This record gives sequence, structure tokens and C-alpha cells, in this order.
Amino acid sequence: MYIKNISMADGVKMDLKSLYIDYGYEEYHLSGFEEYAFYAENESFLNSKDVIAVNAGGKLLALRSDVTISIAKNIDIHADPAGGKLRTRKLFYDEKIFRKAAGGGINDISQIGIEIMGTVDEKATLELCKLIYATLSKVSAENMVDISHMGIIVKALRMLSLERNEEHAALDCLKGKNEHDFMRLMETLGKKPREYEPFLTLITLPAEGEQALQKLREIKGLDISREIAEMASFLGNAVGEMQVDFSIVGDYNYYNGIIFKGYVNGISKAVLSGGRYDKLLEKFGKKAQAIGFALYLGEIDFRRFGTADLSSTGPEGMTCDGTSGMETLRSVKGAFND
Amino acid sequence: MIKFALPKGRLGDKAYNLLEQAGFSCRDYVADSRKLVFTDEDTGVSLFWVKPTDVSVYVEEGAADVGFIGKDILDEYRPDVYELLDMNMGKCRMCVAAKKGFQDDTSRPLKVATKFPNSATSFYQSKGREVQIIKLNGSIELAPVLGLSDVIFDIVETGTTLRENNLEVIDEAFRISMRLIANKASYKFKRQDIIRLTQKLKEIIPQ
Repeated sequence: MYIKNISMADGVKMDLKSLYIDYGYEEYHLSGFEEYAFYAENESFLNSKDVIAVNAGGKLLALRSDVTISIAKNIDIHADPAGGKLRTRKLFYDEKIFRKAAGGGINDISQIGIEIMGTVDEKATLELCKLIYATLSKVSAENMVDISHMGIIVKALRMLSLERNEEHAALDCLKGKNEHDFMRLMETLGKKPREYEPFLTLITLPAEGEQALQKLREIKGLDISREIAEMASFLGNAVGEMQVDFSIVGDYNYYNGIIFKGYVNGISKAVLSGGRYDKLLEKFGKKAQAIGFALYLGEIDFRRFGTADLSSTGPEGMTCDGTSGMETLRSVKGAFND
Repeated sequence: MIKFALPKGRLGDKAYNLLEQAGFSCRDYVADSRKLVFTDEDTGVSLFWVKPTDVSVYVEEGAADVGFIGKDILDEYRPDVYELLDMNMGKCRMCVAAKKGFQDDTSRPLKVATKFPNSATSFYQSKGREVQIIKLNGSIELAPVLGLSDVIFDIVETGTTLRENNLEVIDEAFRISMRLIANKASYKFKRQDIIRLTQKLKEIIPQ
């Protein structure tokens, strides 16, 4: 068997799979479809408008539009069938997801990522941090991670005592660093400074870790010391550039702790995102902790970065007969690293 | 180097004047030139003029780091960008207008003519009113006059056109003005420059 002209994206995927295996992660495969009803029940996590339904012999299915939610639903994290003792599962996946494109048609989005489900302790968090930077570095050495905390956002939001549509407006202001419209909204709703100042602080927070944490500690009327400690620990584990940015907002019905996005210089959108999602597992009756991230390969024009350019730097053909799929990956990776 | 997307027209010219005052001038820039991109290595400014509705596209996709755009377009297209500053320029309102003496018949969907279908839909969703959106590209005021729609959802600046067509404002959706927006990834890697720009503009924009 000969492997020729391996694309740069595939090269990065090979490297990452090998890396995740080295760290003890097992590969998790999914089919390309999910039951449409399952997505409809979880529309706030997925944005059901993006889901593409297909009729398969009278059964309504949907093209897979998210990986994590399916793993969370299917994964077995109990050591014994009766439940009880948790066993932590460390998984990685390499999947395509499908969403409606803005101008019509279908976007297929290639993503590779990891999930830790079971117990997420300090050691697991440190490992995850290392893997975030190792993953981004496969794309470009010039990378950055921004972190936020859903627990803090929810507590600051609750202090505002808003109706649902008003909550959306306030969260939109947070996502857009839009201080002016937030202040107009508060004025219109007749909110008092003691009610809105914690949320306003999140909009205007400095990005530098220690300065940001100090500002968070100064917030009055909000018990967020545990959340700040979690952020401090995450920042302490960073092995690259990491900033605080509360414009990263996830769905509060699913995410409950640190959430983050990864950027590389030269790409106009976040290429990596992830976070802590114990609430998602809880939704499927699993009382456990979970954290993970995905790298969006479709966002990356690898030619700009010259990363893992296997077809141009490696030999023209390579014999991989008689080896397993993963051994093949390892041998290809090894050949190009030598 | 900060890349600016400026909207062609009067408001874009005003925005550029403010940029000059804020120290982000472009020596190379000549008004009314057919050249598309102007760059000044000394001030670290690169600028280009685009159709106002396209500013958000250039910024969201990262072709520009920052741009100036009206709130009407931002609300309609909802680009994933940071909205850093209200420039307090080009002020007007997004309003619902109808023929004088209009009475809403709530037993059927309200027919709404507009250039802003997404904004209109979201406005009426927040009110729980079922609507039929009629997308037009211009002369919106004509729609209720000819019976094409019950109301219009459109920008109102002075209200003169409405008055001349026997229409009146019956509701206000939101206030419009020009905004400074930034690409989210650019903000990560050019944060100091973009914050400096925002602060300088804040000091000089009319209140």
C-alpha cells in the first residue's frame, strides 16, 4: 500500500492522533447520523436551525452536527453495571460534522478533539492544558488561549434579574464587548449599579490573567471565590499565552465551569474551543465531570503555516503493508519526523 | 499594522477624519482616488473603502481588523465581531411606520415591508406578534400606500419622507448610530493597538 500526497490537514491529524494515544486516549468512532428527535430535545446546545434532517426509510435522522453531545449520551463511565464507582474515560475523535451553510447548502466541518469524562481533577486539567497548546502548536507556534467561566457569567447574569429575551440581549453585549448598549439596556430597564456592576465588570475586564483575577476578586455581592480559584489554577497550568476573556459564552444549561477558545495568528476565527460540561452529562443521567476541546480543521489554511507539509517534505511513497491502521499512522509520522 | 474597512460615503469620510485626529492617519490616502487600498507604514495604518453593508463581512472574515458600520446593518446581519464603541455619528432610529390612523388587525399576520427582514422578524418575535415579512430593496414607504403591506420597518432620520407620504411612526425598535467593530482574532493579537485606537476615539468623538 502506498500513501501519496497526504494533505497537510491529514498530516496534522496523524500527528495529533499519535500525540493523544501517547497520552493514553482511546479513539471513539461515531456514525454520520443521529436521531433527529435527540437533536430537537437538545436544541439549545446545538442550534437546531443548523441541523440537517434526512428521511431514512420513514425514520427521521439528522446528519451529525455535534460530536460531544453524542459521546456524552452514549459513553459508559461506570466501572460496574449497577453504577457507583466512576471510571474516567479519556477519548479522542476525528469526525466530520454537518451544518447548514449560511447561503444555503451544507458545510461539512472536519474536527479532531479530546474528551475527559469521569473525574476531572487537577492532574487531568494540567494534562488538558498541555494538550491544548500541543494541539495549537501543530498549526502555528504563534497561538493564544482565552478563558472564561460559565459559573461566574451565570451568577452575574442572575444578579440582573432579567426576563429571558433581556438575558439574551445582555449576553449579546458580553459576547461583543459592547459596553455602550449594555449600559443603555440597564438604563431602559431601570437597573441599579449594584445589580449590573458585576456583569459590567465582565464586559470591561482586562485580559491579563492576574489583573483580571484581581478585578474579579473586587466584585461586590457575588460569591465567586471557588470559580476564581479554578481560573487561577487553569492560568497556572498554561504552558503558553493565556488571557481572560468573558466574551466567550457557552450555553449555561450545559457548560458549568471554565470554557476556552484557541487562536493562531493569521486566522480570523477561533480554531479551537472547549470547556467543562458536567451539566451535559447530568442531562443524560450521568453524575460525573467532563471537559474537552475540538480543533476545527476547516478554519485552517495549512499552506499559510507550512505545518506538517507531508507531501512536500516527505518521501514520495511509503510502504505500510502489514501494519495496523494506527501503526501506519505512527510509521508515517515517524518517517517524517526523522 | 491595523487594517481598517471604511464605509464609502459621507459617514466614512467623517470616520476617516476622526481617525486622523486620533493619530491613525494614512499619508498615502487621496480622497476620490480610484485606488482601493491605502497604506502608511509610519502610522501602521492600512485602509480600504467598501460598500457599507460589506464592512461587517470584511471584519468578520479578518480581511480588516476593524471597521465602522451602522447599527442597522449590525442588527440585521449579526456578524460575530466585537462592537467596541458607539461613534455617536449618523444617528437615526429603526421604526415601524404605517398610514395615519392605522389599526392593527390582530386576527391575521401583520404584513411588514422592510429592507431588514432579520431585524423585523426578531423585533416582532420579541412582541409575540405573527408577521408576514415582505422583503423590498428600496422605496419602502410605497408599500403601505399601495396596500402591499400594513406597516413598514425602516430607518427614520427626520421623518420627512414619512410625512410626505401620509405615514407616521407607530413604534421604535432601536436607536441607530455608527459603531466601531473589531475582528475577534485580530483583537487577540493586536489588542494593544486596538485598545489604543478605541481610547483615542473615545476622547474625541462627539457626545
